[in-house]
Amino acid sequence: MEQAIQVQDLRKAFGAIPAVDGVSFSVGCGEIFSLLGPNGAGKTTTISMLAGLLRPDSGDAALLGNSVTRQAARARAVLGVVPQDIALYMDLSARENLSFWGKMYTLRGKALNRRVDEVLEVIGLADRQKERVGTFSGGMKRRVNIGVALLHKPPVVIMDEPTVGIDPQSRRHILDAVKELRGHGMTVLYTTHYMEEAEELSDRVAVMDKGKIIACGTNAELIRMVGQDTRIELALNAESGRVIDPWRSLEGIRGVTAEDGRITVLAADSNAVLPRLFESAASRGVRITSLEIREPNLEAVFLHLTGRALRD
Amino acid sequence: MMTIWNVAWKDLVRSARSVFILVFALVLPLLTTGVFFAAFGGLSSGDESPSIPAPRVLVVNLDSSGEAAIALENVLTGDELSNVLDAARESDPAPARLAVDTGGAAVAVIIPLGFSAGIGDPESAAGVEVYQDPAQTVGPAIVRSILEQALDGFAGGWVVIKASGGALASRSVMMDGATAARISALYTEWAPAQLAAGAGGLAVESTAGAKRESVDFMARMISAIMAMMLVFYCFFTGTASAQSILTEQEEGTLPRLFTMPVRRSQILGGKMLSVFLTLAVQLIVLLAVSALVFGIRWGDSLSVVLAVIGTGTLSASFAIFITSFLKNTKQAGMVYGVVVNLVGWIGISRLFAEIIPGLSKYSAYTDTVSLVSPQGWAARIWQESMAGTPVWFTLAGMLALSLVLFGIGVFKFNRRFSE
Repeated sequence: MEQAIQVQDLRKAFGAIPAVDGVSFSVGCGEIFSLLGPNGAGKTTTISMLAGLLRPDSGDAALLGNSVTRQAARARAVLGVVPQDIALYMDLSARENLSFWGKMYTLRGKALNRRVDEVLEVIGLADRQKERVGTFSGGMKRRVNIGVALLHKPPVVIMDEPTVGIDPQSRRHILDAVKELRGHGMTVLYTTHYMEEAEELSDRVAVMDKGKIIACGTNAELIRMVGQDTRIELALNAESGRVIDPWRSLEGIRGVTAEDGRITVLAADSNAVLPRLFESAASRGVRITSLEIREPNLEAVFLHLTGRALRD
Repeated sequence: MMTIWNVAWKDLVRSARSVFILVFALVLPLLTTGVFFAAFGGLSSGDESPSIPAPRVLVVNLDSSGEAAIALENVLTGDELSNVLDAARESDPAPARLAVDTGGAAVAVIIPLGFSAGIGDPESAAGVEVYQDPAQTVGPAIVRSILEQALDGFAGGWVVIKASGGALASRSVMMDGATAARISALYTEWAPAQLAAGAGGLAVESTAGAKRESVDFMARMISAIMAMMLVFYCFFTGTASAQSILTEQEEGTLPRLFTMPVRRSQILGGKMLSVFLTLAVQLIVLLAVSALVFGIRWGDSLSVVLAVIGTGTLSASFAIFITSFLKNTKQAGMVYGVVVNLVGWIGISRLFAEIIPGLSKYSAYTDTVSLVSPQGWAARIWQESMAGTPVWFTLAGMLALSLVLFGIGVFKFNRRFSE
């Protein structure tokens, strides 16, 4: 597969603090690739260097073969950027905003008007195009924010947490729009700290923490890193010691641990195991007071790799 | 070039929608001048009517055959004083006094019988009765002023006889009665003719001259105030427009522009062009409106064009310069408020001498000190344009200063955005 984005040993420090510490990855053409990590992991710094906003201390990146440090103008020409914060002119209408940004992408005349019409349809704001962006809801602003990046039909789109702080309806609209981009052959580099978004959208995911990529692969590959077991977390109305040993000997149980009054049970099939756990507890006069089933996911991957939850 | 223009046009549209910029650029300067204009009445030329209504004056000439009386009557009721006095002839003193008593007139001027014969006689008490409404002050004062000057002229006859007698005595010649009578007769013939001709020394000319001088001062004052407002608020508009660089940086639109296939110098150039165009629009509107509404004469076309170029360029450069030192809009609010205000007042101080007569003796000092600020140069070029003196030297100074300020500003911005 031809590479749309190639990042090699990218480094950037602010003072003595390394924000991006030797990041390398590549994204194939037409792929949706997510950078997943908590706030402060280095995601935004990484894409700022790809977008030409920050100069790397060392390392380089290329967009469709154009180095972001040595061929910056050519690299920017193939790129559409959706910044994390809404970057629009609130006192201009949606159409005026798109027209202005389109001109910055060197679109002119009828081609510009046609493209603005198309983008307004894509973001679902054709009927509100003459209203000032400042009067829009947060979700509508986010959609215009995305629309700007799509004006010149860029082969590579970078989206920096585009769903932060918006309502579920707008979020769904944005996620669907991102999936559509793949249908148009665009390559998307998507940063998020929402595990569900990365799982839903991405062909591949790179997990970032403290300026480094700590894991990279498809969802399935990453989940295999922590095994296929389902985690069942329980709380009891009695000492956990009364059930731990009997449960370890039950069929289908892969392991049982207790910490801070909660018991974690690892099982291959939660449906088969749960009745046995309830029966065993009841026979010992113990009642299960709460229960949570966690299927294997990227959250578990992050927890497994860092010892912390993704949203810590 | 299209990119620069597109950035500039976008900023112009945004400025036009900004109530803050519109108020500072157009409303406040015109409003401030308008307040002074309304407070001091109409002006613009020396030929306009006074704002005080002309008092109604009834003139009764009981010495209708006397030349001096006729001359005085003609002066009071003539066209030359029609913009000062609303005068009419009346034949009888009684209805004239009644008209004053009932409010039909402000003053009745009654010229007694024998007035003409008495003006050349030092022993005579040639007087004119001024019957006035005690509630009125301005109208009667104007009439008295005119009469006093006229009567002073007539009294000159007695002075002439005394002076002639003194001159003859110095040559050991005593003036006899016949000679004195002859001199008096000659003066009595001459004085009314002079009065009727409206010659200098009599009320007509001197009063009108004083008024014109007053109106001219008012015109100069309103023009100076408008020039002050124009200069002062132009520099505020410039900085407010340039602040969009900081605003866009904070709102993320500037970084977003940097991710696009345009050079940073084009973006910065567009922002600078928008500042200059905003100022040009402001200047043109202010000049046109102030000329039409307040009758201000800004100077000949070439001087005005050069002054607009100088003011616009210097304001824009100053705005870029000062904004390049600021990190964010929070700083901008404070710095614009303090520095631009302070420097602005220093600059326009040279115009105070034209507004406050007592300060004119300090004008050499303020003229020099004001030039430490860009606003001082701008004020100077408008002074020169209005006075009809050459503006080339000042323009050259302004452009040189602009170049320095602009160069420093661009250098600093380039360094800031090079990362």
